Amino acid sequence: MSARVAALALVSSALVLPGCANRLTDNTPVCGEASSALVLAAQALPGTAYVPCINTLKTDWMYQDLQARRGLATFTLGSVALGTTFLRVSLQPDCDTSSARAVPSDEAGAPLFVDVHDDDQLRVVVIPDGDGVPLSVYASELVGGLDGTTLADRTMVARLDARDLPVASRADEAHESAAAVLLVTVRDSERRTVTVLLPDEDEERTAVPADDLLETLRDVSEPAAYTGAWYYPFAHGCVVYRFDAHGSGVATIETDVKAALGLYDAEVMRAQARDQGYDVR
Amino acid sequence: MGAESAGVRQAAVPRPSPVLSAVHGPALGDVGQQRTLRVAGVSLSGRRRRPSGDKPPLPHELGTAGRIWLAFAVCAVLLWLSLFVLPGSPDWWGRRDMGVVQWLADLRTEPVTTVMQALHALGSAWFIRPLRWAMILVLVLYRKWRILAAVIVAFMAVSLMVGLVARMVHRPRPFVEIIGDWVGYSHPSAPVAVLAVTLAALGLSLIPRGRWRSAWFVASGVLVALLGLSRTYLGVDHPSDVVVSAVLGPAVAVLAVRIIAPEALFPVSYRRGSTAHLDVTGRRGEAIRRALAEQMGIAVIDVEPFGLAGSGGSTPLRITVAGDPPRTIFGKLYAQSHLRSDSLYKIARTILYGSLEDEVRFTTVRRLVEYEDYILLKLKDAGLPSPEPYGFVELTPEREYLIVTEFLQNAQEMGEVELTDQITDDALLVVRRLWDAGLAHRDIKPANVMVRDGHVVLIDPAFATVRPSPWRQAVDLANMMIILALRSNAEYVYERALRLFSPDDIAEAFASTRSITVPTQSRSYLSALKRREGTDLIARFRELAPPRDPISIQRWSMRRLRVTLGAFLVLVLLVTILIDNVRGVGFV
Repeated sequence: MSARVAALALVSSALVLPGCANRLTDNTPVCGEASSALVLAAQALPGTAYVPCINTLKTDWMYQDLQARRGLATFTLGSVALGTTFLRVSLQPDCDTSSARAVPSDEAGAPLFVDVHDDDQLRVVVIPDGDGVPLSVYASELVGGLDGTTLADRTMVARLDARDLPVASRADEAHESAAAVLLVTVRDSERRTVTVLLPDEDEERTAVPADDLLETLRDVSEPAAYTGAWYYPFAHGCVVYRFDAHGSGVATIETDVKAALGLYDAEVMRAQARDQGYDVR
Repeated sequence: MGAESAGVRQAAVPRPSPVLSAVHGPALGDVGQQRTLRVAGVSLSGRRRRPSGDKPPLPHELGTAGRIWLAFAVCAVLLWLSLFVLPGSPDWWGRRDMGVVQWLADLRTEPVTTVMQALHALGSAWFIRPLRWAMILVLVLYRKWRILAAVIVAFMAVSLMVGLVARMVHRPRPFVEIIGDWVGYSHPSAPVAVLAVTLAALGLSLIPRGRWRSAWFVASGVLVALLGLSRTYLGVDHPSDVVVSAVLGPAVAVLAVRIIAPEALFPVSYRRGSTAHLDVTGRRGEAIRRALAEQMGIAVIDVEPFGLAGSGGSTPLRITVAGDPPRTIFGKLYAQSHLRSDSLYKIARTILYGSLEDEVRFTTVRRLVEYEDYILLKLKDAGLPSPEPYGFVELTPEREYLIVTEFLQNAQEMGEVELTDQITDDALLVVRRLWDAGLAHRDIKPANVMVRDGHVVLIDPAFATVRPSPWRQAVDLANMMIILALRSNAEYVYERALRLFSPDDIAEAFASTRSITVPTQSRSYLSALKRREGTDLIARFRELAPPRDPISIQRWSMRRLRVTLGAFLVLVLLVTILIDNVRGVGFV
């Protein structure tokens, strides 16, 4: 064996063998045990009352490595359904909850403030352009057919806007609330078609058959989204969950995250670490 | 390969030559017995077969520095194993580590803490990044690509290893009050490893071997030690984190440089010129003498580099051998660096033009030298005027060989002689004979077509092929006609060529000609002529010859696609790395 091969073998073994080393064995911040990850997170913020931890992850959720430095510890969760980094969990010295609202907390020792944008609805406004009973009936039929329908994990909320205002102003108002506009004319009512105007598009889709409407909306609508932050402030620290979730699974994300994550009492963790011979500050 | 070659006017040194055989009977019958002969003025001592187990003339050894660093690496690994793997060792080391950290924490005073926090900056990006970028810039300016590659590989390897080990060991920070900045797990200490590999790489890549380099390493050791001390004092790292990193960084740098850009082949120097040339003094010079004496029975008086400017793919040598009077032979030294440059050249040609023909690279130096020796013999057998081949000797098995030929005394490059009808006809006849023998030289340029005593001699056939494509043979004709026309004019050369080639042959030759098919030396002469006189020789030859559509030189194959895709991916990776590092998120 040449010196080069020997050196390579030694270095390789050195890289592999330490894997069976540390007594604080777990590199994942699991609730209930003083793992390396939890200890390191606690070291990032000496004196913190809580450390964010993982209870149980859903099947397709993935934990990504803890990143810790002086004053900040973070880890992220990814999912096929919700996005590769749909949640970033941080332990930091403090947090600004001024724009958030207080909600009942699932954690005993820390209140919860949320500042999220829950976009799991697909808003649709049907605007009749013209007069006559057949048109009104057709527009009402459209609203009735769409309202409450689930499309790409989003619940459709449809309403009729038959006010005596110019069509353009009614459409602009609908777009300002991020709603899709379904414009119908007398001719549409005869042909059972509709013109679709989307909030962020200049182009309109004309003469879309009513039977193909769901398919068209599915193609053009954004997936459901859950964005924003949850804050758990406590003595000497704050745990922040930052959401950027898109896609199926958004509807249940709040309950899923509460079940998956938790705050681990740092004093309990320190006591456990001390039992193993580590005097965590 | 280049404009070099040459030798004794009379074939004086045997590959067991008929001359030698005639003098002392069967050529190898008494190999190993000491004797001295004089053949054609050249002294021949007895050849000797190297017994099994004996070292070759230039043994491949790790060297003192390599041994020291290997020992360091072994120590680091053993330390690692003892730190974390042996039963109870983590606790034992943990107590020792914590004992030191706690002791230093107890000694903390405000002034000392201020000093330590200042020293802590040695491991910061603000200190290390300028060093690394400056190093890279100097290496780029001096075109030390191989050393640059070694340096970058060392940086990347250390970053990867530190990250990987940190995740596997996941050791928390020391359990004292931490008063310095830190990132991630404690073991190994990333800033110490990064500083250590940077300083070591800088010393190995920029400072020539000698006193200054030794001084640099001492200073580097002091800097790394100070950083380690400060981090331990500040409670950021354990002592063992620091020690392992301080050994790991330089060990990786030394290994990377030794493997990718060994000092013997890529010495640190700031002289201009090809880096492929080897130093033939010192150990290698002695090895050349010993190899020639033992393997060919030639007593060498002097070895000196010769015609380096014209040679990038080997180290050409003029070797003076004992005799009355002393004679000269020509040697070409091949090593792995030449093999690598040949490989890169062929990969580039494959990507740009497809496999023009047999562009398959040589896998070992031995194969490369064997091939050139074979081609020299083939030329000789075909009656082509070329230097007398004497064979080759082994310096380091599979790594370094010296091929030896006649030295063309009093020969001039074609580009320097007064062209006569005889020389023109002779040169064209050489191509005709190459065609008839089923050979192509593939590198016909002024420096490789020598004229001695009014006759043309073809040298440097390293790229030659047997049974080449008709296209390649046509290119040889075009290149020969170009270098002749550079010394005369296209009309004259065309007329002389018609004595040996048909008009269609010449038309094919220039239909095959592209910029890439014309060697760089000829191309520069052609450009100069065009600038000076406005004459486009290739266009003029095409006008003289019968019309013929250009012959495509692009060849598509799965290999070309694979190589191109691979090169593209490597390029994307390198650009990504560059962008990351310019943005400050990479390893530099």
